[in-house]
Amino acid sequence: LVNPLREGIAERRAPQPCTLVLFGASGDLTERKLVPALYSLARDGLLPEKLAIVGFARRPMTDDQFRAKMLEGVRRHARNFSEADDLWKHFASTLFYHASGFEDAEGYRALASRLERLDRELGLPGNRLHYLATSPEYFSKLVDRLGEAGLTGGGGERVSPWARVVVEKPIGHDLASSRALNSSILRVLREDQVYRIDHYLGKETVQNILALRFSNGIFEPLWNHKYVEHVQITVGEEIGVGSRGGYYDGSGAIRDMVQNHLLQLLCLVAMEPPVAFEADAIRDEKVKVLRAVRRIPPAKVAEYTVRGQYTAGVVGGQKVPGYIEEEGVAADSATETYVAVRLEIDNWRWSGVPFLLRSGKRLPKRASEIYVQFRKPPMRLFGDETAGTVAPNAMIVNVQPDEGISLRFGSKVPGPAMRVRQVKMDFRYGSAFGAASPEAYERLLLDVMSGDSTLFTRRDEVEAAWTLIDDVREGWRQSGERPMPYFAGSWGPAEAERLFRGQEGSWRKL
Amino acid sequence: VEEAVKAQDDFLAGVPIEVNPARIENELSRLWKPQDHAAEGAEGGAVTRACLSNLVVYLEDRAAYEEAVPVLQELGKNFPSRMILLVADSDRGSKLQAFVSAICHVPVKGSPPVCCEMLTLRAPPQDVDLLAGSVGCLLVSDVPAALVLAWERDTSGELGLVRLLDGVVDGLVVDSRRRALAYLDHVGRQTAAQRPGLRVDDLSWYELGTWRQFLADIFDDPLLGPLLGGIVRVEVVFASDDAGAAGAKGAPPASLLVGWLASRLGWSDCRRGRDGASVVFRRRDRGGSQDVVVSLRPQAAKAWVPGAVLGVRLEAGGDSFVHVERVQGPDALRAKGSTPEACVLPRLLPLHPRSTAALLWRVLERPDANPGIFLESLRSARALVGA
Repeated sequence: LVNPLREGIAERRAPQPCTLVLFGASGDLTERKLVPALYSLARDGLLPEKLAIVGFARRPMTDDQFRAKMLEGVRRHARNFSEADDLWKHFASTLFYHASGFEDAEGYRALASRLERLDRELGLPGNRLHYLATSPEYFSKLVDRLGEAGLTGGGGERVSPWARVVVEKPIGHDLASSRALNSSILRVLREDQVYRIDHYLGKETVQNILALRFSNGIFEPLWNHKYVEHVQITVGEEIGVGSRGGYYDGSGAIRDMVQNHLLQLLCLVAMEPPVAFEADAIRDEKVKVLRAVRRIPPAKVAEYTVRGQYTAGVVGGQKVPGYIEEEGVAADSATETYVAVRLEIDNWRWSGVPFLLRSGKRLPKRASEIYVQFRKPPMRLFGDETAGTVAPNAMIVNVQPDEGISLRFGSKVPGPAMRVRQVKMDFRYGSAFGAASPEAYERLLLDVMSGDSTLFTRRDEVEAAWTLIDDVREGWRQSGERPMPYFAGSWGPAEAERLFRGQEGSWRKL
Repeated sequence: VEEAVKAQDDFLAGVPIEVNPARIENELSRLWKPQDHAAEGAEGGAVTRACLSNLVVYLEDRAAYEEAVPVLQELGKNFPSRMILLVADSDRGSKLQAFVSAICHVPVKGSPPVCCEMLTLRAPPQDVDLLAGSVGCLLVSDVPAALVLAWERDTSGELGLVRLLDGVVDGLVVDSRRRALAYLDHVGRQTAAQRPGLRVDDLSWYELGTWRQFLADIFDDPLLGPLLGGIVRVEVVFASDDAGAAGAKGAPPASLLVGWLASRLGWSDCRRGRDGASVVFRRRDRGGSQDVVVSLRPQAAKAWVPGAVLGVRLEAGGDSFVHVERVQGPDALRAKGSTPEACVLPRLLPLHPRSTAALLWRVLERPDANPGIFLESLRSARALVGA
């Protein structure tokens, strides 16, 4: 061994001391998710020993005002906030604020000077983590300005001092704009410096798909077209568009949810085992899945997709307005708030197994799950009378809420008769491990600081996903049809059931 | 009926309910029944029962029992397990007594409580075999079983208990902060000889994990790595409530840390130094062998738990050294070092002292991948203490 003390001690993926610059620091994401996640990491003792967090936004604010604003966010949204000790005081001392317009070159030069000053004062090694939590229209310019100010230079993946940039979704609004944005970013940065975040990949249950599939011997042999009848992936939201009406009306469910979260889940369910648990090995396999997904010709889009738009209804006992009555939404909007897609994967493992994806707003509840339905046994030994109530075997991965995994199978009902009834075997994170799962952003922020890009998407993944989505959108455009209406509080247009043609089953009521 | 309801309420609230030792499982079923019904009917009010391991905890008297119970209750919240407490203390002659209680907590606001069970068996000290013999049928299948010997004050009995539970438990958890290293080494050797597959984990070893990790990290540095092969002097400072207390006997963690260095770096032939206070190991190198002088130095430090390691200084030839010390405000390890080529920048690692419950949780949840390293370190530490 080069270092004999290392034997028996795992390589620590310790986050390195750095300065984290949050662009869009006066926005919702910073206050609700990012800073509370950083605080939770601090409480768990997982942050580097030296760290500075600099908020960057247009709104004028002093450091202290920024700290006060963040305290509110942490109080409300951190999973483990406590006033019983002086952790907040210590954490707040790492927070700073820099006011500047996103396109103001002088503001970036001043930022560079301030970061250098902080390096000297706090003994930081010059590592920079730029988090672009801004509106996507600024991504490209922001990266340009960072480059001009000398804030993007740095060594390789693990060579200090480094500079990394986290980009929030959406990465473009179609393939062309995504390519343009990626090219623009990569004129300034190397691919290994770019961390495209999809917070779904930070969720414990999503990561557990890999653990479930590749650390157990019993599931993988069944994980193919011989045994799987179909797969349903649902990401349902109870909420409407709220204050995001303006943004959402230009996006819609397919671009807001399917292009990223749902296709990422599909990749994890369908990918082949990677050669190693390493970022590029995993991402290579995900890209292969996306490339194997059969493209839907625009003329056939109506066969493979259903889109809907919610009308007024009742959700959670409250009357809610329809989509076109929401603030910021055009009165004649044809934007879909619900989408269901049937995808086929043309590879050896999945040939003939449909993957049914759906996502919608104003569904009866917030629920995300992956449902894998297995084929029925080759013959019905127990007959309709006894086994009639038994649904096919299924594995259900609850992504949120109530994270866990269930297995559904038939079991004999106690008693003299041979009656078979469906039962469920449940594993729940909350009960099995006792502790609450960390928030997705905690894991992802820690990964960026440690230089681990496994849970971030690569350029080719993003672009392969856009290729599929562009086909669907082109088909919708050519058809000129409007989305089907569905009542808020329902599970979307009934028409979506037709995507099951030729399959056993229907959309699950979660 | 009222009595039964009260017993069920008490049980869930963690109050020990005396039950017939021959019918413990039946009694548990009876006490859980209302919760099971509630869960089936989705009436609310149900609890989730979880069990990640079996913990058999030997407690030699009532004082040890009183000390252990809060720790195990805390552990049960993070690592729900069936806890079987064997208490060698009874006020009812040779009769075996059994008590059951639940440990419940709400992991996430609004979710149902998660519960596990604590079973307490009491018998007089001379009837340890009665206690041990009752364990087998109480273990939950398909989860590991560990015997925890972390609350003893004297050495009698436990090896016998280990033998009695041979084939029943998969691992042994000890605490070298409380026991003589020689005894633990004996336990380690005995178990290794008799049950090669039986794990032995030490709470103090896990507490030293941050030190070991930090030292390993430091020597990953290409400038400092070569120093490891040339160490000639080691000084470990440990907290003492009496600055006069010298030598290794009062400092099992310090000895264990040196034992780890010695086992990893191939130091052997431990002997007392000429000054009578230090200990000398022999280190082999290309030119033959070289002495490594080790001293353990107590430092009066009321702020720290007696025995806690406060500093490690490793000196190689010339002026090369690495010095790691524990600092306060906030609690952290700070390292600095120097080689003829460069002065190494100071580093800091926040330290999060762990309670006994947290250490047990760590042992159970993420046991060391290579437990043999602990046993080798223990052997070297024992040689150090015995020199």
